[in-house]
Amino acid sequence: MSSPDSIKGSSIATPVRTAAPGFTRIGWRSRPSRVLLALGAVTATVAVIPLVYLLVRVIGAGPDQVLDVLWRARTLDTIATSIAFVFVVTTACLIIGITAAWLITRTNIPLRRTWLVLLALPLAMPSYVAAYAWLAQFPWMSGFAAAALIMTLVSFPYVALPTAAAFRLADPSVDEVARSLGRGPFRAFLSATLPQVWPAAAAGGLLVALYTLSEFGVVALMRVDTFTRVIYASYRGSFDRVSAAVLALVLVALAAFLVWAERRIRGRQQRWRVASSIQRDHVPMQLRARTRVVSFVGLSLLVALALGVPIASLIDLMLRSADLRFNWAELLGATVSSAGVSTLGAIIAVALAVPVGILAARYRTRSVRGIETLSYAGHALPGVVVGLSLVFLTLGVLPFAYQTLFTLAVAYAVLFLPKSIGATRSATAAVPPVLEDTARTLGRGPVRAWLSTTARLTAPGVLAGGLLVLLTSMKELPATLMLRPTGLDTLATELWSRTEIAAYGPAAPYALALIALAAIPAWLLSRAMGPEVRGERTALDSVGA
Amino acid sequence: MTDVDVRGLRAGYSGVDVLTGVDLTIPSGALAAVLGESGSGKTTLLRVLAGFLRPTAGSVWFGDREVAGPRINIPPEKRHVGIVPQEGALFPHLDVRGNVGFGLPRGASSQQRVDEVLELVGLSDLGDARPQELSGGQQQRVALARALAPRPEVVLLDEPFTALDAGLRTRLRSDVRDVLRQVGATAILVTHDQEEALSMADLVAVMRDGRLVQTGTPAEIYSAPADLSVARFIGDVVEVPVVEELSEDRVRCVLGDVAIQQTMGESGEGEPGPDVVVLRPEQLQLVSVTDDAGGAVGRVESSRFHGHDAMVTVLLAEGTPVEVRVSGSRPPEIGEAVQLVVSGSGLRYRSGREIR
Repeated sequence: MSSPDSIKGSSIATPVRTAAPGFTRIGWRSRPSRVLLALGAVTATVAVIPLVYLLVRVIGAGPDQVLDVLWRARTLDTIATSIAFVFVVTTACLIIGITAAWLITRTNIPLRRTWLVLLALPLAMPSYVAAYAWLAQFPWMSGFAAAALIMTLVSFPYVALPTAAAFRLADPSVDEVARSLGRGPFRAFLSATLPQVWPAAAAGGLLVALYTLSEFGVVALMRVDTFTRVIYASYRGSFDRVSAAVLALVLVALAAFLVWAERRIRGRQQRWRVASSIQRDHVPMQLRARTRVVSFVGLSLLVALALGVPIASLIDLMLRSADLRFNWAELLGATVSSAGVSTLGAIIAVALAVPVGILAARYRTRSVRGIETLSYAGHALPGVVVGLSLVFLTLGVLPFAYQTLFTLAVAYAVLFLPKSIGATRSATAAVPPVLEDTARTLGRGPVRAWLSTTARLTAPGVLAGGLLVLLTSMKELPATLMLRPTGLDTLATELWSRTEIAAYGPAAPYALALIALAAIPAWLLSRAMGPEVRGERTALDSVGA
Repeated sequence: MTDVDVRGLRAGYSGVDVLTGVDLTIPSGALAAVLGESGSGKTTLLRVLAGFLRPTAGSVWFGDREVAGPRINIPPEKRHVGIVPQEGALFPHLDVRGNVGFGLPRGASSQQRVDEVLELVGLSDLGDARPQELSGGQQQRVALARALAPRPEVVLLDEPFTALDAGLRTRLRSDVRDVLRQVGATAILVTHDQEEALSMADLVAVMRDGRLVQTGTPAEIYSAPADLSVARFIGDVVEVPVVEELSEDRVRCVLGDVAIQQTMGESGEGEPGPDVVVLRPEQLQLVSVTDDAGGAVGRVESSRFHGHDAMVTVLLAEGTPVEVRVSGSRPPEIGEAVQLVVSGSGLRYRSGREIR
């Protein structure tokens, strides 16, 4: 061959800067306005307050005391238990998730479309509701294995769904080429197909790890001493602030590592997509009759454990407690106060998120990137940590704010700010800036131009983000337990306090109400997953609490 | 080396046969193009040859080895077939060397082979690049190198140039053809592009509705298409009805008296209506009306300029529009009166028997 195609890497797009500012697509006005930056800085500050305050407390305690806490046998035990717990659950979710995804996308297993829906449904089951439903039927359940089982059953969809999407997107010719180059079916799968779906599976696995690390309800109900339970106990019992704060910081460090790893893998996943406009359908692999039966039974068992048992348990509890007269007023009261404080949290979150979302969608300067990263702090802050930090902060600095509605709402805002920013950002990114520019040329000032174009068009997306914050806040458990004003009962705390005293029957209506709440984002997810799989990651984000 | 022999092949998906009896013999070392419109079954044929689809009847032989037949279906990994898929389908997680070496055993000799084929396709300096960094043409070169590395006996190319832009396509076609010649593998190229098939292949097989309607050298296919639809598919045609049969090899039509080189469709499978004379546009010449050339007279209705030539539509005096390819820099003016002269002989296609 004489001459290779000349330009190396010509397919990689580079942002073009032209002489006409304001009309290029990317790198549009290269510098954001000062007002917007200032508002974004406020958001970033609020988002990192809990973390900073924890740091201040830990540093204030002095290195000796910190080291002392760190090297305590109990601390090391906690770290070991937490890591083992996360490892077991994540590994189980990866194995189950990848296998299930492969079965429902690449083989001739019966009812393939139905399985996809059934495998998404466990997302609508808040983890501690599942733990409660199992406990109500099997009160002897307790300990590491029981907690790991339940955590796996509610978390495997985080791996299964994106992996299924990746299997469907993966180019079947790649597998065929591997076959023609001498690999048998199994080795071709390992060397050609699995690497294509691995980034999606690994990113899902890291989400599972993050949620498992932050999980409070399940480990508390099953009495497993991971970080969250130990931190909560030391806050409740001894008020041993230093040791709680040190543990919380270690927890945040681990969570931050998981968040970082997940982003890296996700970035690589995007880089790995070789442009391909032609999508050929997969020819499903024909399983042998026995394998087909075994697989079908296996999937059925999985769904039965993840959905069937908790739902049957709840129905059973409802039926049995039907004669105990249930206090509907209390349920209504809890729903209303849940909704009230959560709405306040959602409003604060949206107000904080809008400037950051706009900045992140439109500008890529260093300061914008810094603001965005800090604002996402809530991603790596488990509810227990935010709760603990705000307790310390209000007690120590702002006693008038201790256990007030406002503090709880701020906690929700910090925790779920990433959801709101993500929604604002993608909504804004979808609106071409040229619209706003055109409005400017038609005689409107910057603010009016924004209001009449971008703001109009992004409003639905921003509101949806707020709604997500609202719904997620209503399910939130640990921060609510620590920060709620005396006498304020939410759905989550009502379920919690009844389960703690083994009053399983009366707790059932609260559990059902929580499932109904969680079902809404799960339903949005399944719509987003539909035949097209775009947006699956944002949707997953929206479900995770 | 290995010739490819396909006999009475039927194959399809979920009980419906897409291929309804394909017979094809490709001599060792030849490049054959399977030409057909989308849905004609050409990709299905390729999948059967590669071993991804089991035929329902018939057999496939590579040399004296039966790879698919009533009692045998050798899996793809044992067929020694190289595939160049439509858009390359490079392994996204491996660099160029990793892709090319995928089918080779580990070891120093394999690394040497990778260098060899990379040089063959002209990509020696891109061994460490990742697929995402390559242009479409480079990706196809890597895909070809990967297919050739294990020295396959048969190479299958599935519309490998479709996704590329026109200039790149032409160069890559001739490069690929040279490389395949050099390694001497028997190659089968599936395409819907007649120009690609004619310019690259030693042998063209035209496929329609799951069977081959004509097989021959590019020149044979172009000069004597088996039926009218093949004629139309392979290049531009001038089609005029036969008005009167003057003799065995001479007919009268609106273009005047035309010599007939061959009469096709005696089997009665032609289209209804009168018999048709088919000429290629370059067989017609435009001359000034003032010359006494004895051609049909008409007026220039429109003209499409292509640079190297122009397609001129002439409306004949009695009302038939005819397309003429005019070379040279000066296409006639619209509305100009012209005379059409036929050079060479045409083909006569018999009409369908049931109508007559």
